[in-house]
Amino acid sequence: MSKNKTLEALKHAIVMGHLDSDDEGYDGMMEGTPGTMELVETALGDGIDPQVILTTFNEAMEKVGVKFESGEYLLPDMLASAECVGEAMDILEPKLAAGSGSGKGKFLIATVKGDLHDIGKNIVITMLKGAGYQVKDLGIDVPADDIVAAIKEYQPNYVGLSALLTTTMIEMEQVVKKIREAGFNDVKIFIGGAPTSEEFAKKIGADMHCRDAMDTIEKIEGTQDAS
Amino acid sequence: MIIIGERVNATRKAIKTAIEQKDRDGIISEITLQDKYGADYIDLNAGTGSGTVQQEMDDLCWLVDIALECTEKHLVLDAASPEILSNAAEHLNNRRPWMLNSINGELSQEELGIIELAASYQVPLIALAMDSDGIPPTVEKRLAICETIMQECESRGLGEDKVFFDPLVLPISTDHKQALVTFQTIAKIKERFPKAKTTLGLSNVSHGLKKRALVNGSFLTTAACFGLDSAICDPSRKSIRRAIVTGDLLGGKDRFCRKFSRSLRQGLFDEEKK
Ligand code: B12
Repeated sequence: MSKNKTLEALKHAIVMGHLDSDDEGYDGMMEGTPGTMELVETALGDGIDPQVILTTFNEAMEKVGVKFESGEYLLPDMLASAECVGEAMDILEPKLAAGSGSGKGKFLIATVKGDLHDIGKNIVITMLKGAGYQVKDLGIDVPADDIVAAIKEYQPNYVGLSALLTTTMIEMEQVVKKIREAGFNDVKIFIGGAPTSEEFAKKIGADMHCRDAMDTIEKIEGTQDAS
Repeated sequence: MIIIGERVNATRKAIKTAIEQKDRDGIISEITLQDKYGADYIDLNAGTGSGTVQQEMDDLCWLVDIALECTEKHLVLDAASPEILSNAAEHLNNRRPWMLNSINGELSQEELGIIELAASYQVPLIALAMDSDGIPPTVEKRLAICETIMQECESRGLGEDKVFFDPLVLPISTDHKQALVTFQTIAKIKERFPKAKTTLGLSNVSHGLKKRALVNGSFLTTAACFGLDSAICDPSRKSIRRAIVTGDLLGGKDRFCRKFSRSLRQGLFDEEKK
């Protein structure tokens, strides 16, 4: 298989929620054909850059989102695709994080209260680790007070907030407010997640908005150069 | 849910006639219909009740031959006598995975013979939770019968994993708690014999009522939630297929609700056009 074909097959497998060859997939016909797990291994074997594979995850999940919005996919179908990416990340993570120190600073990250989406956050974590940051992950559905408490304890240089719902991105504003009220004025606040934007970051007083994981690395490296 | 298609049974008039008149096409259409609608096993019963033992023997082999030709599904040899069943088994000669239907807790010589037959071929056997006194109305008595049956099976070399217990059901029209008794018996059997399977015929539950398809379907769905593994039913009926899909869904057997959503897309749950 050519590299492009491998990536296309991988994208299709994720969209179909086809975890591995034992899994039947969305249409119930895929058992016995290579699934996400096998295709990620193939892609790595073909020498495809792990970051390119990450981009494929992004594209696949975007497509899943469109299918969900149009009513073609039900919630569990979205979950099946999410599981594919989650499991595949476990294969990819060691490749991305390989051979880096962790001397560039501490990064505390969380998906805000009310929000259970963590695929994007986890990709960002992997990339940050790969780039040499020490990451503390508070998980999903994290209340503002817990984030503030963790900042106290962990003393990070950066705080990252993730939200994928228009209803939970509002929560970010509260978190930023509480962080600043607690006197942490130096910690740099990064936000991300599909509904967020540059303007939104400005409006709520966050330091940085990142479109995706690559953008995150570029921007955080920028802050390093500046200091 | 393992679906055992029940249509080819000589207690049904159409089948009796087809067998008597050697109407091959009639039998083929009954089998392929069930195949098409997802039966895993096709039950074959040639007990017209009127002929001799020799006649039923020949008829069952005739059904086996037709089934081997028109479907790839697994087969269930269904008769009361061990001679008829062993003759059919010999004829079938393991050309297809198969199982035996059935014995009960009476454990007459005939039934012990059927257990031995199942053991010698190491094929699954359906065992009914009743005895010479009929179907007991309590969970305890039905479970006790299952215990006895299991002892006889194991002593003859038929393991727990080869037994399909049918907990049976009495009509709720005469005793409104009887569906519950069946559900609880399923749960108890699963607890006591974790490797055994459970299967169930449905129509008795709604005897004497109306809207029987609705009652039978809800009964099947609920039984699935109590751990029922298999049903002896007519999968060509939409109400049955709906019940199976929702039973697997609610019973925790449908990962990512995929079977449910596929059935949805195929229109299984669409409103009937009036
Ligand atoms: C997978 C998924 C789910 C999964 C989540 C599983 C999991 N473990 O994460 C499940 C099935 C649980 C789910 C549930 C729901 N979902 Co949902 N989901 C998605 C889906 C399809 C993909 C999200 C994803 O993983 N994308 C891929 C990743 C890689 O991209 P990303 O998250 O954007 O992350 C990148 C960047 O944003 C950035 N980034 C992200 N976070 C951060 C953080 C920092 C600090 C930084 C710097 C950068 C950064 O970098 C990441 C990597 O490049 C989206 C569709 C979409 N297009 O986004 C819908 C979507 C987000 N979900 C949606 C909805 C409606 C829901 C539900 C409400 C559905 C329901 N009816 O219950 C629930 C809500 C549950 C909850 N309380 O959170 C809507 C949101 C609509 C809206 N306007 O708010 C979407 C957009 C789908 C749609 N088109 O309708 N969902």
